[in-house]
Amino acid sequence: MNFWKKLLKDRIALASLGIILGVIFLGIFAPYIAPHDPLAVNLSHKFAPWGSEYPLGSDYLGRCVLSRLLYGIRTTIFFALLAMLITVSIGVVLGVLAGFFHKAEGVILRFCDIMLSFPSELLMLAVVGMLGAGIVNIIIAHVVAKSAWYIRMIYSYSISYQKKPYILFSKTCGNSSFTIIRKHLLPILFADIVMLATLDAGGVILSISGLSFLGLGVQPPTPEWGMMLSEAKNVMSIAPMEMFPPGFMILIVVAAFNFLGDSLRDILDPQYYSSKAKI
Amino acid sequence: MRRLVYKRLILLVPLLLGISFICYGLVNLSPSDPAEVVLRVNDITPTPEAISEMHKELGLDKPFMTRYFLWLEGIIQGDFGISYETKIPVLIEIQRALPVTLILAGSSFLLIVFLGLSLGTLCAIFEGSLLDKILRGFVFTAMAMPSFWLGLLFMWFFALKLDLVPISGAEDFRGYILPTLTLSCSFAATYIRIMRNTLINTKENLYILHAKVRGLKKSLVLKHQIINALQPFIIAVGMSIPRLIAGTVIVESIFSLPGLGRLCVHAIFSRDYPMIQAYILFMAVAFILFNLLADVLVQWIDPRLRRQA
Repeated sequence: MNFWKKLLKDRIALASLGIILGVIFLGIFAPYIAPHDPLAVNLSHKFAPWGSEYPLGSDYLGRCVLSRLLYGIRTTIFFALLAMLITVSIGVVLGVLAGFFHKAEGVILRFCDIMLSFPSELLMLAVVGMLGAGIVNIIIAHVVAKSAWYIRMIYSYSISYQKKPYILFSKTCGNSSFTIIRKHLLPILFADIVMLATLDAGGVILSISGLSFLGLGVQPPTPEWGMMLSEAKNVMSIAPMEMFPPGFMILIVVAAFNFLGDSLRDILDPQYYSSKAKI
Repeated sequence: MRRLVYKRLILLVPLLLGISFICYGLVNLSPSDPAEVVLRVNDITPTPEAISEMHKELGLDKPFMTRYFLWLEGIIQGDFGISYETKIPVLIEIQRALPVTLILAGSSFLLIVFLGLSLGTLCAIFEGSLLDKILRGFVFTAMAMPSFWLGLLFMWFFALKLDLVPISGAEDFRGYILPTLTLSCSFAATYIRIMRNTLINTKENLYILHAKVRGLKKSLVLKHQIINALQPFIIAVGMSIPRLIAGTVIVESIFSLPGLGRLCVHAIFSRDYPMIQAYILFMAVAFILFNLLADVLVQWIDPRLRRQA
């Protein structure tokens, strides 16, 4: 297939994909890879230097930073992916509904307009403010803040695909709307959905770990990269090296998602560069 | 032009009403009872009697719509309620914190516009050169950089190692240098990218070719190009001002600046609902006003849009 050929040629995209898959792999197998228990407190070994016993040192409670970093993948990345999965599912269902059924179109789009008149950062803060701190509330806040954008995007894609000859043909043949959506619309939408989600993933990771940094997200002692940074901040003058591993990991993962998203967009939409929409 | 502004201003009224309703309604979705929160904050055991008394004191025994209109009436008169925690009127707390946030957001805004316009234009002029490549590297790094890590790195290097600026606090202007740099970084990257890409896209337009054929000076051609590339830039900048103010939440927490963002985070922890409501309403209104301002500015710059409207 043309798509895979182009992707295999794009070295940056492949490297980004490798980093993302590698990090996910490390997260899944964290219990087998991590040298220590991420929650084990050992005050006699606090602020251990980088070395063979603690590869990336230990924090103010003597917990192994490398182990916390590996287990942190499970919270930082997996919660971000979970939040995105829920948001994207809502976006697909309502977006396709609005695109395919004229009765639903007006209601859903007006609803999106109202939601989009709030900036999403603010909406997230508002929902967390009302529900209180905690990772579940952060995921809810993310779904509330971001769904409208996905609905809008997927709606516009499904509208444009409905003019495709094979979908028009299928309609003329008298196939039910459900069959057309399942057999023709969803498969062609899939690539666009993956692209949208990849472009957005970096931002989701940044906002979830940012809220955890503020203390509004994942609660201690569960390891999370943003929260590890906020712990490192408190001991910055004694142990400045502690803030490098989590920050660097966030930077690498977010950059990988951004690069992959950009490459996917270039592959799926070659006209994007020449069009005015490139903003 | 004037008619357009009036029309948009009139449309603001229903929009603001809707937003105020959402702000107010959100509190009622909250799982905890405000009366109980007030009692807990003031170290009173929330017995059923105490709770029902507090309900009366806060006016929670009235129906929802009545409460909403009372709240709205208060806001129109500048009364945002009283903070549950400090018992100080919310408006006074906001007035205290606002200057810090405005200085931070304002200085970042100036820096972002300056960097975005100058570096974006440089990138487009020297497209493909070493400078362009370096700046694009910076853009991609800055867009993936978590602002809370960048802030810590700046703090560690400039305040702890080199001892050039104070670590935290806002006693004098030096306390704002690092927060401003931290806040500006990712935004500046976005605008360098926008400016560069729109300038490169406008290069192929016919009026540029025409200007070149007529033998106009290079600087004059560039001037026309820049004016035409400003439109997406201004829209993006207008949209980002509230995001900039929302972004101060993290930066103010890192550098312990007593601004609006820190006030809001503190209010979230202590479940100080009047405070949170006021902050969100304030931010939403700012968002709408700056969007309007950006729209008007764009139309003022580009007469073609005015005729369409």
